[in-house]
Amino acid sequence: MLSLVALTPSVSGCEMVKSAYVSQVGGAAEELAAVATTLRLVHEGRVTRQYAQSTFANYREVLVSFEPKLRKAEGAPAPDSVVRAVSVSRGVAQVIESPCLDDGCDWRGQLAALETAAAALDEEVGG
Amino acid sequence: MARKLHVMRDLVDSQMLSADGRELGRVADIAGTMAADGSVELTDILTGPEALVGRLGTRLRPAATALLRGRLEARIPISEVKTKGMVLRLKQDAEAYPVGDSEPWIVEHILRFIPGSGYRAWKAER
Amino acid sequence: MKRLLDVALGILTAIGGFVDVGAVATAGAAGAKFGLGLVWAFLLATVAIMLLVEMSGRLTAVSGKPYAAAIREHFGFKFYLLPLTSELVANGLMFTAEIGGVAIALSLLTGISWHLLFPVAAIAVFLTVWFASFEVIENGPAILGLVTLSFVAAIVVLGGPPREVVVTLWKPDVKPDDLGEYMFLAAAILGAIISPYLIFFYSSGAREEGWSRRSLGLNKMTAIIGMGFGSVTAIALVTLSAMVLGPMHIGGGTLGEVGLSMATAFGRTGTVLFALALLITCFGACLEVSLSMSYNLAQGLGWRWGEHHKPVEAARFNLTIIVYVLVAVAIGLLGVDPLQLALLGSAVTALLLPVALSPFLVIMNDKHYLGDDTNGWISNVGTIGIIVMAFIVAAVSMPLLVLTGGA
Repeated sequence: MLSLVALTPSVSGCEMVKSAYVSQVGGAAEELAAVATTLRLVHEGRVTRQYAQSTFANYREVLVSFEPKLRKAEGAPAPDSVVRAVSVSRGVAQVIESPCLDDGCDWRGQLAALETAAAALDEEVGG
Repeated sequence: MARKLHVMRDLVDSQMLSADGRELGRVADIAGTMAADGSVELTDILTGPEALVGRLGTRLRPAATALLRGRLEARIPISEVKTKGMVLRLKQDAEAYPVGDSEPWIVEHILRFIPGSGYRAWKAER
Repeated sequence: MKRLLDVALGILTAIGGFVDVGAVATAGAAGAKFGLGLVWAFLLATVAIMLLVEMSGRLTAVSGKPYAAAIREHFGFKFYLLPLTSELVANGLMFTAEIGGVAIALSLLTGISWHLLFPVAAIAVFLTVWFASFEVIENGPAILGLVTLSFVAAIVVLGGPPREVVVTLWKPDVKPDDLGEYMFLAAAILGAIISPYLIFFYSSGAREEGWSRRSLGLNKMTAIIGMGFGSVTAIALVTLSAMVLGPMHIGGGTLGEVGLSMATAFGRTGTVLFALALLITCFGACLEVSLSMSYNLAQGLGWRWGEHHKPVEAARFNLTIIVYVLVAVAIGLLGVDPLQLALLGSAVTALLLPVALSPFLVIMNDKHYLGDDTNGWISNVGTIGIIVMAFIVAAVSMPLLVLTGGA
């Protein structure tokens, strides 16, 4: 077991894994894409209300831990890239907190915001 | 030595089965006496956690005995063994042996409080 | 006619027993991130589990001994503690993840938070093990588990995988810095499908059903056809994720988003089908994991065991199940996401495969147990090869991801 641990730095030296920063930001981008798709499918009538509620609760849990994890993550290219990523995620926090699942609100605006945010994070890590 | 190994293989870790077909645990260890000429005579088979802990290391045995005070250990005289092998058949019914007392304890203190445990029929039988 | 029914039932059982939370989690993530680039791992794992399930049925049919009993008798008490401990650890993680899978599935059906539903799921699992007969436990989830075939139907409805997805089958698109994650997922897939709990469960089940040498034909068919079909449904889910989630840049990081591909194919019905598939397969796996732990301990220590006894007649056996459910609930209260836990548990399982299964392979070559029915060399080499590979892939990729704080 010790030898395995010893092996790790030498292997990660060849960059077989992404830096913590890249994997956190990339993961958040994937999650926002999932949120956007869910919202779209809800309004296309393809997802039950219960299913939507349940998935949004799950998305919230994942994305709430994003900011503290990102602040701790190593490997950010520049100090202000963390700041940018955090501000992107804060920008859509409101949408994730209270998504528009009915017809009476601006779900298209929310969808656009989510897609823009996902794209921005993807751009941040060169995805 | 060869004979001892033979005994080990036939007895230790075997499933103990009473005459009325109850599983009574597995043989944890064996006990014997050594005669003046150096020959060993087997007297008992042992079962229970103390003996099992002893299998992990001889030095752990006294600690386990001190902790559990032999409450869960059982000795069965070798004369009670009817047939040897991976299944070790004993001559009498389960009640005749000081083994598996934890089962009724678990039933009386835990399982009976859960519906569908079959407690009433079990109690009536005793 | 009865015989034909037995064969059919056996096969159904195997299909239902194949897919579980580990399979759904790994299939969803693998398809979303690497297209069909990890299908090879599912295929290899399927071969291994076919061989292992066949062996475990054969062991008990011929010798009358389930696996755990044979380990204790053949290797002694001290050695027995190794596979026992490895199972306690790996199954502790997987059991919690499977209950979590049931809770998420219930949440997807009702909209209620899965954290609230977790204890409900655990109690339902316990009550089923407590009240139901072995036949119900084995066949119930299996027959209902056929709902997983809807994954295959979804692929057909969506018009089959496009060319750019098919190509990833033999040319996986793995960037250099994705290699660690790719290997981790490969290990998790191998561990999710090659479940040692299935070996303990299946060999004990052969005893519960009173198998003998005459059952060997049934055993072989069940293993090959059943596991084969099970594998088809798992690979269908990979394909579905590759077709739908991949192009949308969804990573398959939560169980709910894995089901979005079913929503794309069938709309609302699709989401219900996915939730039901998750519910039934995870519930079946919960029953198998909890029983297999108890089978293992009871057989290794020589207690009375089996679902055909009333709980009071096999007190320690049933107490073990209670304790195990309580431990899983305690771990579950930490609130770790079931999908992430399933990935971790599956990778840990892969890491521990040599400990859990090498005594099995020794026993399968021992004439004391199997007479003329010992393993052929192809099964030996095939199984050992795949197990060693799973171990190496897990041993290399796990520290990489854990220590660098990725995933």
